[in-house]
Amino acid sequence: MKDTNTLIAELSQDVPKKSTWQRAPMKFGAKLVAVLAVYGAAVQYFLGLRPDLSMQFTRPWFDFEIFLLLTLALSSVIAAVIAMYPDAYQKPGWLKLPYAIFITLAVLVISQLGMPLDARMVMPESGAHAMECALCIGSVAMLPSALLFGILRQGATVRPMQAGAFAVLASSAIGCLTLRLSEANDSLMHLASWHYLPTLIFASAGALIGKWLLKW
Amino acid sequence: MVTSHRVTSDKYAELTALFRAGLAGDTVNYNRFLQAITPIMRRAAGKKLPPADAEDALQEILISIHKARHTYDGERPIMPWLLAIAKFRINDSLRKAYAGSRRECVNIDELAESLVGVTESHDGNESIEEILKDVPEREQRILTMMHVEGYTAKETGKYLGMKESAVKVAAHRAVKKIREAFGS
Repeated sequence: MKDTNTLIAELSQDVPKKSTWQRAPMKFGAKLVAVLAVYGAAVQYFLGLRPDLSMQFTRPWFDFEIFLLLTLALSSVIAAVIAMYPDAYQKPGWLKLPYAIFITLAVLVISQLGMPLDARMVMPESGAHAMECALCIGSVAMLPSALLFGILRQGATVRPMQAGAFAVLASSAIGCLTLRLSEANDSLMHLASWHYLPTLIFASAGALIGKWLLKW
Repeated sequence: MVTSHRVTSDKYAELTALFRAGLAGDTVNYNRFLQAITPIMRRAAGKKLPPADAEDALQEILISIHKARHTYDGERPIMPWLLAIAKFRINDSLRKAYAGSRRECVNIDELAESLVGVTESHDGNESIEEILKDVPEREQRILTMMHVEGYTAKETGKYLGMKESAVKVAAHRAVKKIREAFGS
């Protein structure tokens, strides 16, 4: 290692080569959300809507689930953007929000397992597709994950695992949301096993990818 | 004195002003900013790392601050930003130090000749107790736990009721004493 004073002199001379990144995270996050919303709409157009969607929206639990998926996607995008700053833009609360929403979602699904079935819920026959849902969520999540990782690499995160998890969680939430609006299947076991558990696994994989990809 | 772009209630306003001037391309003020934060960062690194590693960590921190400078806009207090980077790099250094100490191993074949010499020599340094006799009891315990019994610094600290960094400093001092005793 060279002398610290020499290092400081060298770094001082390098200043004009890199312009300051005057990026307000909330504005940038909002722009990113807009881009991802367009992507989500395109995916939804491709997947189509379930025929009984308007009836499903009369079920409060379904509404709440959709609301949680929307907020999960939104909060994860914002949390990923915040995580790009070493000091989390001094808004650490945003980094906890996706976890809180995901836990609420899990509690919502688990608590419904013990409730009597609503006649409006669609229960497919056993042996209906399962793994395909996880694969669909994963496929939908790939492009936005790549975009978010690309953006995250421009920052200087000091929490690469968390940032990676948020990026994939946001993308997977888009996959879950679009699939939930297109697939006529309200089996809670199916949702837990093939929608939300894979989302958790993808987010964990995102954390590992983040550790490797977001080094600086 | 640098003209501040914006009045801030931050008690490190002078530092922020220097940094902002530096970000605008003022190399002199950027240099002053780096000089000003160096003792702060050196103290932060020195608290967690032994002196030999602290200077390396300090340089890593300065480079990282320089690399991440585009993520600071001068609109928020500067110290949390600086210390977040410092903590990140100090933890990196600690991780590297642990990984290095775990990987360090010696091929027993390479020691064959010297081991024969050790068993045949009668210079009074055969036993570990002999080597450690001039080291204080607490440091003896630390060295024995870390280098004979295979505990990590964290585990040793937990057992002895000490901070991990204090264990490492104590171990470093003990090794230094032993080296001095052996004249190497």
